[in-house]
Amino acid sequence: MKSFPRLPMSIVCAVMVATLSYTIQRLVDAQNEPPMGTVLLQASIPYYWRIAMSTLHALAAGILVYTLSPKRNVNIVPMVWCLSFVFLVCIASLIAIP
Amino acid sequence: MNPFFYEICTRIHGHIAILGLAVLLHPILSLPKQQRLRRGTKWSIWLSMLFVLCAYAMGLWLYPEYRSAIKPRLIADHIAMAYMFERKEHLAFLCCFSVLGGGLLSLFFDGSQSRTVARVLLLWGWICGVLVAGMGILVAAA
Repeated sequence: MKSFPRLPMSIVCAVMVATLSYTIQRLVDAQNEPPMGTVLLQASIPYYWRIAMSTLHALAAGILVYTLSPKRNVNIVPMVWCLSFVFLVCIASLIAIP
Repeated sequence: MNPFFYEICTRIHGHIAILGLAVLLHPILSLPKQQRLRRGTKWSIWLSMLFVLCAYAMGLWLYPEYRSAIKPRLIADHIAMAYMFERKEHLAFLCCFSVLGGGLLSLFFDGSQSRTVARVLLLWGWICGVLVAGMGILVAAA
């Protein structure tokens, strides 16, 4: 167990939450939206909304982790694996379901 | 937007992004060898963050024009490329966030633990960026 301060941990969590949030929002949208070509223009741009919401989620997660995390010492190895797993799954799902 | 100006902007956007990816390789390769960050590595991290952010911001600025002027034609002629463009936009968001996170971690936090996580983040950002660049080239060719 080696020391990993709270602020770096909150940054990593924010990035992970942003990635997961964006992917989940996109997958949910893909279930509900009509096929491409049937609707050409919408009043709002869903892509901008997804980015804004993911950024908000990331900020909230980062602040929560920073304020609520009681431990100063964190084992970093699972975090690195978790980060890689999250990225791998999100990239694969975003490529599979555009 | 004037179509000529739009075309120029898309080319600048692509070139800045490729430049950012090229610069990003330097910290990914050199971070594990350094106890303290060297000046050149700091510069390359700042520059890669700047280039990636600028390219992403430019992409966001050009996106409404793409939706109104280019996307309908792309759907009519090459629907696979229209889907490819959507994939590219999703991965660009992941790339931007991971490069920003990794860059901030490596610049402002010392210690091998922070460096390891920063390097993983930068590496995933680079992988996403390479996929985005490949897809961007394919869509531009269509």
